[in-house]
Amino acid sequence: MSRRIAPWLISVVVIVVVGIFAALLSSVIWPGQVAHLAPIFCEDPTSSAMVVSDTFTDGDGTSTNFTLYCVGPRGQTVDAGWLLPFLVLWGAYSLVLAIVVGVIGMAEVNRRRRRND
Amino acid sequence: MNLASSQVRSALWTVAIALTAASLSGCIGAVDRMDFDNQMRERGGGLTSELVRDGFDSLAHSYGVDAVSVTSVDISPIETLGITVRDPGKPSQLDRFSFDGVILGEPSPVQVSVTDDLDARSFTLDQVPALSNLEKLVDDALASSGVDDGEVTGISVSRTEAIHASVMVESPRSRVLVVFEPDGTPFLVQPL
Repeated sequence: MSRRIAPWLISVVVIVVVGIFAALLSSVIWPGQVAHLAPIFCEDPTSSAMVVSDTFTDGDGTSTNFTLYCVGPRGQTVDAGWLLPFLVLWGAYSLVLAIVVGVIGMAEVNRRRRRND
Repeated sequence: MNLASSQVRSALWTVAIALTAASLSGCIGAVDRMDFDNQMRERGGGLTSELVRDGFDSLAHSYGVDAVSVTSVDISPIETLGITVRDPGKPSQLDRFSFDGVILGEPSPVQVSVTDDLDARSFTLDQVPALSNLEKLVDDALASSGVDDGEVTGISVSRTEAIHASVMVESPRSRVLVVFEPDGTPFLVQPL
């Protein structure tokens, strides 16, 4: 593997892994953020979105499922699921991380260049 | 310096406790199912013309015909449509379907009495223009009922001597049945 490609590949893997953890943790703490994806998943007349929680209790304990619903002014509802919105959220977090890593990386490269000059 | 350090530490603890509590409850921005259903009912329960149209289209598609003939239509929150259909291939038989706005359920057979005159009981969607403007029917029923904070809990269309659409309006304190002509003209307001 080329020495130039290796750091990029490692960066991408780290960004994707950290991105999924960030998306997972944040969606457990703040599931309502997924409702901001309404423009992607919801169409007229159900153009606004709500995140609905279903809590189940069984022998193994208590679990909560989240579902994104597109809702309309007359109480229409469309189940948009959770997996696809979560994947989009993961993508968004990974993109933000990539931008942050890119900015830090470029700053580091510039700093090294100035030091070498 | 020590004071500032202890303030930062206590702030961090507060944030950590808040995040732990939030993650355990998982409630920030999410609505409990029961609250969600109540909110949707208050908005109108999804009783729209689109629900009826999509339901009839799905039925026609499943039978491979352009339009179906039915003997009853029942609409209730949240987006539940029940239709009793005359099988186009065997008009002496009735099938009951449910439709939730997306999925058409499997048909279940309905018993027909030998005294039932299905020709006299059946009708098509075109014969009930009020179902093509269900939002207006709901609004008119709420206005005609005179019930404060009323909600439409069900709409039923059937044909006895004539076709009528009966709309049930309920509040925690009262219940009123508003009956409409097929064109959506109020015909009877009956407190129950």
